[in-house]
Amino acid sequence: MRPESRLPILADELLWRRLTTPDWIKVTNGARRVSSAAFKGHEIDLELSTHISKLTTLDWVFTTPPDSLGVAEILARHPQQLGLNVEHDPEPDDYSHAVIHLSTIYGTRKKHAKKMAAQALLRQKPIARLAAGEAE
Amino acid sequence: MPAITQVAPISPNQWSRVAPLGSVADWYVDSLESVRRLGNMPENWDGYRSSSIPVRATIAAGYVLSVVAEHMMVPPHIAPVPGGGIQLEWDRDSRSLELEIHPNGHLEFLVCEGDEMVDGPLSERILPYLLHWLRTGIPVLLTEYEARKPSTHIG
Repeated sequence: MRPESRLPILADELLWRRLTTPDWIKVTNGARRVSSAAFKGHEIDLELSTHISKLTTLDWVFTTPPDSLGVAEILARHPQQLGLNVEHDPEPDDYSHAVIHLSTIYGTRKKHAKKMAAQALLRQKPIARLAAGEAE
Repeated sequence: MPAITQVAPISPNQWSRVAPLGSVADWYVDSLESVRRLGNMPENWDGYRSSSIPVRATIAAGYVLSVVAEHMMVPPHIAPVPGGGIQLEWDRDSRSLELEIHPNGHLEFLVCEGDEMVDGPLSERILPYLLHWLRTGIPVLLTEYEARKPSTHIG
């Protein structure tokens, strides 16, 4: 993808991080939340894949691989305020793809993951909400 | 925020014990089943090319769960971590505790209260203090551990 086709990521941009395992959804005080494990990445992959919400739809995210039962929705300003670079990274079949560049320092990375998870909103796949007994 | 004592982490080979079922929380067996399930996940379980969770990590997780269950804690949320680790996490009021088991069996903790965070290597000696703090919110002995950490607050 040519650099000129990359968009700047503004602070109020909504990002969707796929929750590709149901174990990244936890229940806290009766409410479903996002586990920090979804934002940890690891030392050989420090680019956390997300999607820029205005460039795609939840329907597309939920019907293309990798499979997910929900997304963690987070404003770009949250990783940016932690000093993390958020970059539009279009892929041939996904113009909405963006990455959060994680810290190379493990201790910092896990604290950032905790912060981002705390600020994330869980958007569940409709079928997963029905299975959990929640109303549409 | 708990004050804790710095001690040498226990080697993964030492994380092995038997927990009598009569003396542990009723969620213990279910949690072991969750760990076993995570240990059986294939490569690329997260769709982002993560490696699978090695046996060494599941053994260490089982040990930590046995210690926690003896303290009659509420069950942790158990999650796989990209790269092949396992995470145990609790939230209580404004406090939270995360224990992470790395693929090599090494253990780390992260405690949070509001915006304040402290992390470090987990040892068998520290764990009861962390659990006590999570349950009660009451800090325990202030020791050199926190004094040695210049700043753990991140904004």
